[in-house]
Amino acid sequence: MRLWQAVWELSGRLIIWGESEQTYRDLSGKKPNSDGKSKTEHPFACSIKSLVDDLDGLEFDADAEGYAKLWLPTQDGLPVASTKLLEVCDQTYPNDCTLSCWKVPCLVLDPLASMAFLSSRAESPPEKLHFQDSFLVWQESTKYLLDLLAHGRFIPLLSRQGGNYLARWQTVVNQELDTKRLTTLVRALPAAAKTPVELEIDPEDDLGTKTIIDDSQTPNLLNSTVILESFLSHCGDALIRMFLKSRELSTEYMRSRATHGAVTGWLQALTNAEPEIGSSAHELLKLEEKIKLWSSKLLAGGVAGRFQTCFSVIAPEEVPSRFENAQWQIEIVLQSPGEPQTFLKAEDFWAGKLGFLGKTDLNREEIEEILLKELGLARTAFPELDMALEGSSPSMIELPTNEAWNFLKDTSPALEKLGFRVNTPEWWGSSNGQLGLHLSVESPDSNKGSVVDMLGMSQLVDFSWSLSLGDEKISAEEFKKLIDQKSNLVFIGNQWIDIDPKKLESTFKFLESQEGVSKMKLIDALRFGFGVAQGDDTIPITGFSSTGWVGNLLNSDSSSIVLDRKIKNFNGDLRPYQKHGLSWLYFLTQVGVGGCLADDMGLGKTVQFLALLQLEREIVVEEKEKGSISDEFRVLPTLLIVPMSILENWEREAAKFAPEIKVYLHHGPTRQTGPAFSRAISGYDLIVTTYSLAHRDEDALAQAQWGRICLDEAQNIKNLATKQSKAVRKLAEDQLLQNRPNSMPVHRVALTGTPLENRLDELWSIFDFLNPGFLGKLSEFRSRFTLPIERHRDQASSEALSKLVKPFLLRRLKTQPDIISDLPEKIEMEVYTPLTTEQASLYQKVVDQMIPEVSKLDGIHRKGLVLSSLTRLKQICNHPSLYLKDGGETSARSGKLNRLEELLEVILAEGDKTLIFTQYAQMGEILKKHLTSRFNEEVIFLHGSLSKKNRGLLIDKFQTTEGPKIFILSLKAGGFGLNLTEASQVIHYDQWWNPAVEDQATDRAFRIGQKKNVQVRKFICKGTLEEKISSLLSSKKELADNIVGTARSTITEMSVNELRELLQLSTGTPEKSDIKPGSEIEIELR
Amino acid sequence: MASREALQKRIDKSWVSKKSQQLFDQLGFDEQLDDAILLIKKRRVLDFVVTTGSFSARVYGDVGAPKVVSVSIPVVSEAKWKKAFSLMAKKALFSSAILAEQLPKDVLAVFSQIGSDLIPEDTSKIVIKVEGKKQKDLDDRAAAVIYRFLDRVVDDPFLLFALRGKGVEETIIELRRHRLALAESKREQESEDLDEVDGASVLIPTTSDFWQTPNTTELSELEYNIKADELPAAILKRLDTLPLDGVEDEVEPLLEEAYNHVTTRAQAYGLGL
Repeated sequence: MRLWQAVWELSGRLIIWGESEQTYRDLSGKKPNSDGKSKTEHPFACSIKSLVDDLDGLEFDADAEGYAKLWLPTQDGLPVASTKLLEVCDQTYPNDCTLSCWKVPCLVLDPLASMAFLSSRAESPPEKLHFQDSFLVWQESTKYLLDLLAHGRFIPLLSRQGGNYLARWQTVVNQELDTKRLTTLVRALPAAAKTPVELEIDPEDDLGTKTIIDDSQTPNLLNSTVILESFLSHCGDALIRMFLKSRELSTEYMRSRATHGAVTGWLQALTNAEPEIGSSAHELLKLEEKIKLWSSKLLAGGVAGRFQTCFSVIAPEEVPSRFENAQWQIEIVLQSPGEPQTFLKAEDFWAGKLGFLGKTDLNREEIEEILLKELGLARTAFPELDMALEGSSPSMIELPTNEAWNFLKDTSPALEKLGFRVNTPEWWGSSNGQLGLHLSVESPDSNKGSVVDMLGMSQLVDFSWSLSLGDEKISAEEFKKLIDQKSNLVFIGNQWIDIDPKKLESTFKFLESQEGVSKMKLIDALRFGFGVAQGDDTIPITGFSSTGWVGNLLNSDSSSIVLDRKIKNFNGDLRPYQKHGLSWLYFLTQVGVGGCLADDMGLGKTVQFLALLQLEREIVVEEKEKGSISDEFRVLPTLLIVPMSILENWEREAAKFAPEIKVYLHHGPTRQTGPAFSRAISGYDLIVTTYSLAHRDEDALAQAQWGRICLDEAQNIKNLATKQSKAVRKLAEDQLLQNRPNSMPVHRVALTGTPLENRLDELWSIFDFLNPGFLGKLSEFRSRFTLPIERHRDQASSEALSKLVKPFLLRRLKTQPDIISDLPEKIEMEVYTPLTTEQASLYQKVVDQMIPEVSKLDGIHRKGLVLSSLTRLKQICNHPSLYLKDGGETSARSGKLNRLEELLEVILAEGDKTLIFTQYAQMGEILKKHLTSRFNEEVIFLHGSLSKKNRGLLIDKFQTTEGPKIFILSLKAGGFGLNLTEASQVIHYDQWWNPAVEDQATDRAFRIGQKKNVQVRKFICKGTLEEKISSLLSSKKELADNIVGTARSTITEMSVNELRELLQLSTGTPEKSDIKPGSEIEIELR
Repeated sequence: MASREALQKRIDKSWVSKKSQQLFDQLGFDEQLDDAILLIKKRRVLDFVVTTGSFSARVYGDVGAPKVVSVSIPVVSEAKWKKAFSLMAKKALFSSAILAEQLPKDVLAVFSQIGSDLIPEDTSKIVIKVEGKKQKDLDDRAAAVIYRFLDRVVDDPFLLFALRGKGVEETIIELRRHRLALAESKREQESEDLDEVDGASVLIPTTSDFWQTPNTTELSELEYNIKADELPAAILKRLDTLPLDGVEDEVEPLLEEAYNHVTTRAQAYGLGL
């Protein structure tokens, strides 16, 4: 057996040598040097030939071969065999060994070869070859290095060696887990791998600098950390260079400019085989300094982060009457990087203790130099440190109060930027220890279930101010004393706090100005309470409490608002979360405050709103019967403003869920305007119109008195400059100013499913409609919230905004555990969309051409004409371009496509994936092109012309989390056999008229593996044959099994009149401005 | 004058800069500053070398062959250096600063205490020779070489140490030695038992432990996850922008791409691909 050892030589080479069992046995009993070898030659080391043969057997070549001088245990003039060799030979390890220098034959591997060998060949040595423990450590270190590289834990550096500047990649060990692993590796290195090495190899093979060892004196073994770091440094650099071979880190432009010589030279040398940089030394010196400073944040902390130099701020134990005279201590501490609770005070270190550092491999002198160097780095950010450095054992600095405050405020972040840790007192930066104002608001209780005449946000409420520190109140006297101190750090309530003396004075003046005032408007109280009305010159408002209905409104958990009553004439059962939504909406109605129901798409915002209308109606009737409100009291009609594409959907939903609610659709060219409008809506409960008409019929809408204005898809008013947004806002404001003796002030509601928290200006715009002035002016809102949150991701601002809007915003996500368990696994909806003018015109033309023709034909010709006309009509319903094959502009020409865009906007914002099924391949192409450009997202399309392999690729791509979010499938090619559980939204763009086929397609998403609730939408063009056939399907269940055949045969056999009735457009007048601005309505539809 | 402004900016950087300019002016070259800088810019100052006690360069004029300019400053004696190190070792400031590659201003006071000066106060000690010229006829070439030296000193103040007899490595070693001696005498004086002092020193095992890993179990329990990170260049984000003289925006995407490539390749390498 041959027993191999591996030693890492610090200039970057792995030395492999071995012991030969055979030679050792042969030597047994013989005297030293009896084999003729010189007295320093290791007598039973493997020969070079043996080493080379064995390596050859492993299908590997060494970079060089030669001899190495090593320090090994020795007894009686002979090297002591390794433990394993003695074990093989049934011998025991002798006592009283000394260390002597022995020359052994060896193989030499450069860093790249070392990595290759250790990561592959060294895993399974052949039978007669044994790898000693040192190999195990190098194998583990190789894995450790690859782990570091795979996680990007390396940085580029510029260093000097001799007179040369070198570009190097340095591995970074700055994570707790990495540090622990490195510590384990350092501890694992056996002494046999720590011997100093001197190499004698053929000069032609020499791979680096030569280490000369003095063999006359017993040396210290090398430091394990130094060896490991050398291994990681050399091998890491070599591997990264190999990975980046022939890659450029500089651009052509930079390389052509002499002014970027040093930078370009450095970047090029980072990917070259050799690290030397050939640029001007003077420029490189400057660059070296900059890069050193840049990297110091990561590399500070001593050798491989064995300890971290920290500064602990210790507050004075004794507090003088003038706080400015207090003495603070900044203590220097050596802290364990992974375990902050483990530390050693510099004072104790200088007194001779080593604490946790005694367990590391660093000796006292090494620790001392690392610490001193760290302090040298720290003094650039902390000049006062020089006071401590005046002595020989720096351990602490004393600072007066104001300087201590400067340290906490300015020096501490500067030190942290350099990679130092600063242990600040707990109260520093904590809101718990903050001195603040407290606002208390009092209001009467709301009378649940009855109509309360409230003035909403304009109502006057009682209020009072007080001062507090955390939960403790501060008296005016104590406050005055603090002001007199004029100190940035003050001692109060048994603790130090950070305070701006100027703010204290301003606050004092503010409180003086409030004396004798006891009422303010609710909106002002809320703005104060949430800190949006407050300037920067006073101390912050840290407390806000309220009683009565304001308390209910601001209750952090709106679930406390419960309305436990049934709605008599409401069809359908509300789910628990919908009941909660209804209670919340009704509560806001009672108190006259606007609210935004922002539930995820598909959670039933429409149903909750319709329930509100019905509930309100029933309560008023009951209250009148009880006599608790006068007979004069009227529930004014609700104005609902919606996008054109869902206008008729509302009518259908209202008829389905709340048939008592009389709905009036205000749209189309025949709509009433002027005084006729008021007459027309008389007796109706819900007037539904569109955003564009809210502007165009502004005057007519303003004449009416509205009990409520509701915006569906409220994001439509996000652009403040648009006429419709201005008109909606003005309408709401004017209604607020109306005097209404027998009804409540106008209530404002917004419905939207788009995540508001990501679009802050949109949030402001919706709130400006709901509760004007509550979020302040847009410019103030932008500087206070939009910029800090959107640009700087400021968590505190985000939390403050969330707290501010929470009482007025109810948002439930379909991923919430309480919601998901409450939802059916599959929700199916029919989505009715209008035709655009172009679609209606084309549709009518086809019908007009077909009907006279049909009457002239019979038999197969008649059937053929009917079927081909059906196809044409369905194509028109999908998109005019599908029918005309004009390849032209696709935007705003199809009601279905318009609605699809609106839906996808919300779906994408919610992070869901969608399957869109169509029976027309050409429609799939149109959708793919249009949606790709509209959303700047990858849209994939699976159709019959794709090969099996390509279909598989598309499916795999879609099924990855980061894959495309929109997948269009032709119903025939993608309707069965596929597993597409990444999607939770399914849209049937057109109908097959066979529910079984559609269900099969839906089941691509709704199947095992699906973790979300699936929402299925079937698009139907309102007033067309699609709607009529859909009704037919719903009413005649017996046809459901194969409606295609039945429906087709039924349709082709219909009389001319029946056909006309089926195909003629019945309702759904397209609205001009929802199609194309400025275009004219071309045809009048009945 | 633009060049003086430039120098002024650099002077503001540190006390070394200020001292450098003072010396330049004291040597009577203040009027020749612009010409000196021009010679350097035109790359007419070649083979600049700093050795113990002197620095020199070859300088081309407008015509003819280059002339060698050499400047000699007396080396500080070994005895004085010893005193200087002994004084410096008493204050942690010097070791701290020098290890962090800074030269604190207090070093001037140290040299003053030992009866010497790091930057000669007395310019008569400085001997400037220009090949073929008399001392009184020193020209722009001498000014250029002096400027080159002082300019370098601003970037690397330890050149002053090298000029006066000690390189930075030697300085660090000497300071270490003096600090150890100081600590030793302090310990002896205090005669305290410092039980833990040797806790971290390396013992040389000559028993069977020599060959064996002391923590085989711990080593075998190590786990790795050699999988390309989803945020390969996260480490760069933790640092400030890499200072690259105005081309940061161009380099950053290339560097991020390189991180991405290395992490992916490291994963493949770990899998033996």
